[in-house]
Amino acid sequence: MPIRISTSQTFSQGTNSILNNQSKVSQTQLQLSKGTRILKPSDDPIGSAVALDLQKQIDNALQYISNGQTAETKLAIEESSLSNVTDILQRIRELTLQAANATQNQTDRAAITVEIKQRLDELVGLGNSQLANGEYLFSGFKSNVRPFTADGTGNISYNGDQGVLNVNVNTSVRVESGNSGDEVFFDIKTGNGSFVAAGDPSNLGTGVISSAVLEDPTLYVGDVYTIDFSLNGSGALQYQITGANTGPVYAAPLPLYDEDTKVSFNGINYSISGLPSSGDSFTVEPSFRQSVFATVNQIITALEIPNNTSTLQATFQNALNVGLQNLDQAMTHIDEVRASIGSRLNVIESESEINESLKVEAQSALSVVKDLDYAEAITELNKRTLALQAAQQSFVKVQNLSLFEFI
Amino acid sequence: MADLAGIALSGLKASQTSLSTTSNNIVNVDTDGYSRQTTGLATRVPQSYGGSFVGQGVDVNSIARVSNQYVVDQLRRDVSSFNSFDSYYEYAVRVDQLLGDDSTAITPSLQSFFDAVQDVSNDPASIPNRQVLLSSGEALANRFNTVYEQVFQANETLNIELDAVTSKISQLGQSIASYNQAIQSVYSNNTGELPNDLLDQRDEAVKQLAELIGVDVIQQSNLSLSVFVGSGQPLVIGNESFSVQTVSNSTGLSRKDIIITDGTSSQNITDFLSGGRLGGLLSVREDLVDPVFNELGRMSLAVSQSFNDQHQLGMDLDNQLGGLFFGDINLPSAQFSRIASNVSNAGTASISVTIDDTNLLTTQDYRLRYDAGTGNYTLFNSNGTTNSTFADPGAGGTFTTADGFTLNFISGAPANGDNFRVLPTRRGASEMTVDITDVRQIAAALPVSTNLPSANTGGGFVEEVVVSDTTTVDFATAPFSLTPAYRVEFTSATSYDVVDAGTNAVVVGAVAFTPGQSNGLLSLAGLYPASGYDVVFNGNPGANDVVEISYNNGGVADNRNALLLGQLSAEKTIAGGTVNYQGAYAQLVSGVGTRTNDAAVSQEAAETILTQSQTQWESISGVNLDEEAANLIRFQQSYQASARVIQVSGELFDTIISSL
Repeated sequence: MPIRISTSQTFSQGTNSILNNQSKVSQTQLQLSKGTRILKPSDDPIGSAVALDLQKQIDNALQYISNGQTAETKLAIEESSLSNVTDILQRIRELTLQAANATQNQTDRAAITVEIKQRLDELVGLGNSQLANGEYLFSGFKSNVRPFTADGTGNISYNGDQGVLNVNVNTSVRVESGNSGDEVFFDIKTGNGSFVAAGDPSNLGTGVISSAVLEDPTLYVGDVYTIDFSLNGSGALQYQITGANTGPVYAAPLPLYDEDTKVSFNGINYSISGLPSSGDSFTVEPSFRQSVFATVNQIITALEIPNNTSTLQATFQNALNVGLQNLDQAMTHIDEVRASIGSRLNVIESESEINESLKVEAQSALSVVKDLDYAEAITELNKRTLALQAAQQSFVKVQNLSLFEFI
Repeated sequence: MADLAGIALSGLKASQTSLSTTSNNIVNVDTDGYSRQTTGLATRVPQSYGGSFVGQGVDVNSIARVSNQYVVDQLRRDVSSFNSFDSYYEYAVRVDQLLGDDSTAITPSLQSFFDAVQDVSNDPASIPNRQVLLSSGEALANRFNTVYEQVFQANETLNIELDAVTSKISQLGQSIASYNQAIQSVYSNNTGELPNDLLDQRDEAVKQLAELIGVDVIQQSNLSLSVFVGSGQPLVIGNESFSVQTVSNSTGLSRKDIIITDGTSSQNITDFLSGGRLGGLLSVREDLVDPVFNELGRMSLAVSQSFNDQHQLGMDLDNQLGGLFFGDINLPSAQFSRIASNVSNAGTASISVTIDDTNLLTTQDYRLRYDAGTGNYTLFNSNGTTNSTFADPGAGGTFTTADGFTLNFISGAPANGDNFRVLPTRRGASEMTVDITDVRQIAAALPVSTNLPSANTGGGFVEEVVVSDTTTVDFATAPFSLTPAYRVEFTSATSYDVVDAGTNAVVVGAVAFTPGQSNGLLSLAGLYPASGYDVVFNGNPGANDVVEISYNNGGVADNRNALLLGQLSAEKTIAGGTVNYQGAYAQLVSGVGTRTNDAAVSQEAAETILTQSQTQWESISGVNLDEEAANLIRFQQSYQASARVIQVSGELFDTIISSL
């Protein structure tokens, strides 16, 4: 006994298979037109969650790259300002050395001083550099405040704060996208970084203290030391070194002065040239912070000391030595800041490379999850179109078969 | 001698009847639920002539429909199950597409919002960057509102469909009852012949009913059908039918329940129903619509609260402490919208819900019930288990749950058996707003700044400023000053005093400092956390070094709070600290996707099964035109043959007459 098939069933089967194939064709067509395999999350629930995560990674990487670019721009502007600062300090140093030459007379030195003062103004101008949007580059968090202003006496003060902007260049990597003016221009140690040797401006002799170096850091005891010259019983020039807190270094009999001989005490090594008078004194005190502006002002003040007597020449020389040493410190400091900008730029570059490659990886992973295999989809479309045609043709054929045609 | 003409006449009659039945089959080929009919023929009682029986012709015995009750029952069950999955899938795919589409999904807005936070942290003083952050905050809130609105619309459509489906169910119940009556009366007035067409029509009505709701059908001995729904609630008994209706049980909540009623008393059968379109609608609401409301709500509440909390620790462009960025999640209107009381409540208790910690929130709806016998409220989880039981705290009292929200008993008293639906998260996504109006109010900075004077000789440095609470006394005179402003003075490399910068009085003296590691200066001095902020100092400070702590006046380029706000996007602030914002959304999307996918698979399977039982039914009861055509020829031929017999009997008669 064959299975009975009702007439309406043949019809509905035929139409159902046509409808079914049509919806499959349209699904494949939609995939092809959108270029994606997942048209809605239920097409691949796990794939959609993975795709969301990958998209987030890509967006984050792009944002970090853009953060890096912002920081890079700011650091490049800072670097260019600081490169000018270095040039100006170099020029000031040359001018100072030129002025220090004993052949220069008072008039020549006055002319040089005028140029140094102009250079100082330029320096302040660079400290007050602004970004395109009007924000000050070197005023810390107070970017609306002009960081460096001069008072009536020419002293430059800092009006910003010590804040530094950090920028995320990767999930856990932050880079400072600038430096505060305090750090760049003010946080500079005087002397050789450990201590400063200076002559008392009221000295009457011609003694000039120079080349004070830290000989042995393990022996160094930080204190304000005074080197006092006096005459001993036989009229010879002797000296005593007294620490403000640590007391006298030598017990009697005190050592005798010998020009250009290196003297070592408490890890410090110095020598004095020329001939100090009895009653003259020199100091060796721990370094303190001094702004580059104050240092340039210090040099200007030194250059304004007349050098028409040998005593004044020595005072001038002592003051200039201190000034030049501080200037060298400032130049080293600016170089250090510039070096750190360089290394930060390197970090930004390498992080942005990391993010670039992360982005590319995530994009290719996303493409695997989401994107359509066109070859496969087109084959599928052909297959389904064929099935649809077959369904339509067989429907027409079967419907034509009826016994009523023959009676 | 048999009556030849009489036999032939009976044959003509039988053939005619068979031809009528066949014709009836042919014309009803497209009638829904029509079972083909066959004519049953039987020989007449023969007459005995001389010991042998001579046939007397043929009689029409019956006209019966070809039907198999098991197949009919099977088809009805399969129709129910297919329609249930079908309506489920219909709604599921709608939500699925909504959450997955880039133009309606939450993720792109969330990403743009946090990208904008990053841009503000790159350049905090930039007004355009702040403008972008404010607009993308608004876009994010709008997106939550929009998605909520879309899901709400789907829920409204569902409610409307519940109305339509229940009224159709009641109508079909009535039809079945009237068919019952007709069939009974025809059957009892008859000689036992079955009213085929009425039975077909009733079967079809029951099948249509099964498309809408899962039913149990029992045939009584008098041919009437009893139809039951849910867990055995009668819809049709004999000539009587009951009405199925929708009802809104909770005030202010767009979520309808299903009741069955005889006009006087009614029973809520929402939780018992399964199968058919109605069953699918109810379960998609339970599995998908409600959870999506709640998941979205929880996400938006978490974003609002955690972002606001951090934002309030910051300082804006005008030196003011940070305010709310997003709207307050505990506005009075929101608090009252989180609870819906049952319409039949007899008591007057007015309750509101405050959200304390979005991290602890779950995505369930709760039920709160009062029992006058014990004087206790019981809070039930959505699966019916008890969450907590507590004594009625009375008007003005509160009860804090472990799930991150507090019930506030505002006024009135409950009556025994009063029910409330507690919905902490359901409307969250619709209530999200941006509170801030001026871009200058974005608190990208921290309100505390530090300064190391140039006289410092040591290598100590400020590692970090921690701000945890800006409502403390220290910030009471903010903006522009801290009360008191502290100065930390190192008396040695390992010891410091905390000094009031205004009076120079030592507040806490001789605090031990460990060089070369992070030291919370105020925390070591016992001032933090009461101060609300701390300064973390590291390195090797020298004796007489000083750390000056002050209010961060003019700190427009400070991005420290913006960086902290940016970190929130990766922080796991949802579901007890197990997932971050994006992760929560990904879970929601893949959850809905999985359920929709399951529904699609189940729907396809149910369709296959339905096709099979349909085929079986068609193969038994369906009309085949070829078969009917063959029958037509067959019965035509037998008719012609019977007619020929009459002719023969006439000729026989003529032969006899002419021989006379």
